Amino acid sequence: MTTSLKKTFLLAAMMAALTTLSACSTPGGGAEGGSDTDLQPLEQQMDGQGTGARPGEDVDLGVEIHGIEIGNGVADGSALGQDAQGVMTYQPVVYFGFDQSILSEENTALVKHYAQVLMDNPDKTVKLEGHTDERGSPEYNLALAEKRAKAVAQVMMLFGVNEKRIEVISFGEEQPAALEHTEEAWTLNRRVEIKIH
Amino acid sequence: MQLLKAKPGLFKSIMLTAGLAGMFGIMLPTQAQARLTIEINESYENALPIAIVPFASNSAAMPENIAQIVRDDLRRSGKFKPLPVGSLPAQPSLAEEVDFAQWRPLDIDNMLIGKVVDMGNDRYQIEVRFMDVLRKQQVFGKRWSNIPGRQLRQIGHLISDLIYEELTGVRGAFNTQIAYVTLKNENGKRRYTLEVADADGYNPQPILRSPKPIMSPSWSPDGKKLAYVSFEKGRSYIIVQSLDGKYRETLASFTGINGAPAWSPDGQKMAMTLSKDGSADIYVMDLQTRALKRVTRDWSIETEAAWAPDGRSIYFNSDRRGQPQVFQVLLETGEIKRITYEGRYNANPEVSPDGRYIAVVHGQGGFNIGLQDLQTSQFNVLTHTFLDESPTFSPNGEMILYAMNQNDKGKLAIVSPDGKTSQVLSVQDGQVREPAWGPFLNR
Repeated sequence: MTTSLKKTFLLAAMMAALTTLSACSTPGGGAEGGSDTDLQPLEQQMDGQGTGARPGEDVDLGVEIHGIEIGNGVADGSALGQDAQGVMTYQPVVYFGFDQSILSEENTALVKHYAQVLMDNPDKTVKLEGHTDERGSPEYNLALAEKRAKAVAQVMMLFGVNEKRIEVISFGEEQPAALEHTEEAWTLNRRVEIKIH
Repeated sequence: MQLLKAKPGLFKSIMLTAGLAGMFGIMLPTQAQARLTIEINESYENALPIAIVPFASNSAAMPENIAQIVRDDLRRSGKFKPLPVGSLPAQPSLAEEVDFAQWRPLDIDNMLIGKVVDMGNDRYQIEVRFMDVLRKQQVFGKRWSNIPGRQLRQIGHLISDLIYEELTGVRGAFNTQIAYVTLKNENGKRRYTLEVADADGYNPQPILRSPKPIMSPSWSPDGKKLAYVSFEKGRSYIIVQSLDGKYRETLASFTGINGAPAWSPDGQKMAMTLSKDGSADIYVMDLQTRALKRVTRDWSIETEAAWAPDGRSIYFNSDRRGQPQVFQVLLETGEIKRITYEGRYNANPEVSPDGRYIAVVHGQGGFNIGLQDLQTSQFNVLTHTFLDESPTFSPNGEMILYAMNQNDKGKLAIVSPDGKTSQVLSVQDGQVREPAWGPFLNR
């Protein structure tokens, strides 16, 4: 696991590269070896950043997917089954309102989608990392971020994912995706990152 | 010398010296740490004028200007207005040198005089006399002998404490310490450091450095240990560590969150937030047996335990009514009472040392520090800065230290319970947050 700071620092540089990558569907520099291992650092650096898309954009079949496509994959969760050569990863993120931990209908659909991905890939497990924005009390936010991640876990279990395949981690307000102290940054920071491994 | 209350005073001085040496003996070796700088951004009306006369000394190069330390302490309290040195009519250092007629026109009641003697080998003797200008007599006299140079600041704070208590009736809290977490960018990496410094920001000592977040330091009542939350293992664990780092132990690493440690007033127990049984709830751990007792049992969030000074009840934050509000649980009966009603967000309760006030993080569009008076049920918003959080009382209850954001930078600020912002503490090249004001140190 890398710190979100690293992510943030790399974000600017990566964004340009990724936009190009996605558009051209050419293998990224990190994908030279074609193996998952080579890609790992790149994936990690991008954790939670998505393409920088704001919540509400990138709507696909009524499902919000804030994913990064690296290399030759298709924007379809089933590609996760082809990890060795498939070289594609999603960093889906579920966003929340201030002091909220209830999933919107849209977010429920998003989580359902990844629940299905997990059902289709029984060897995979999922980490649900809960976060809040920086406002209010840090310890309350630690609990709130866990509540959010557990809300996502509940939906996954509802759609059949075994509890044992789900790991919930709360980071509270400690690992912001955006470092500014603005409404826009706060919107991006109130989130649960779904990490399928 | 003849004015010192000789024998008992001297005995006390020796005890004091030993106490200080003990305190410093357990510190980590000093590293080049940037200290917190203090900016006093509001002047006080009704502050009492007082004369702190520069101390005489037998050496030109003293490691510390003790009179200036006292002056700064008293000014920061907001209750005193030390006269500018340039306006003083004379600079006596012995009682017999004071010509009271000279001081009468200054409209002051009290003055401090003193001297520092360099005894060689980095040892100093400090002698002070606090004088009543109107009654033309000494209020107290004190002498400290054989004090190493690095402890001279502490002597200054002790003198400030004595003056403060003499004139206000409340024990001074200048000779105390604060813990806080700094966050710095080092080559694009986040570096967290848990530090302990003097209450005026000097002498910062690193307690723990980590690439992962550190949260919620809580002082042991004896001031020798800190409990805190560390993400060093990838998730929130509660750690207890002595200030010298010789003792360090993971206290709670249960599934889910392990957070909000709060030492009981008797030092025997630790209240904490765990979610191992479902949602976040308050538990109390016996530090001897490690036995856990669940204190709250609710589907909602219960966190941020704060002990009442008598140790018989715990204030906590719960969102059981939809938004965070402060509740109190009586430990003997389990009875729960709601404490805050004002506004939609009252989190992170901190109890004043006398048990009368609860400071909270109050959300009302912005986030500020609010103060609930349990006696009158009055609620006041004390601060008007940005992203205010993590309030912590000075051990004498006279000040509240909290974290805020100013110009995109995390800083600490101190406010008096009557709401007068007095000062801002910041580090040069990073953020500072998660403050916790330590207990009184032994006199």
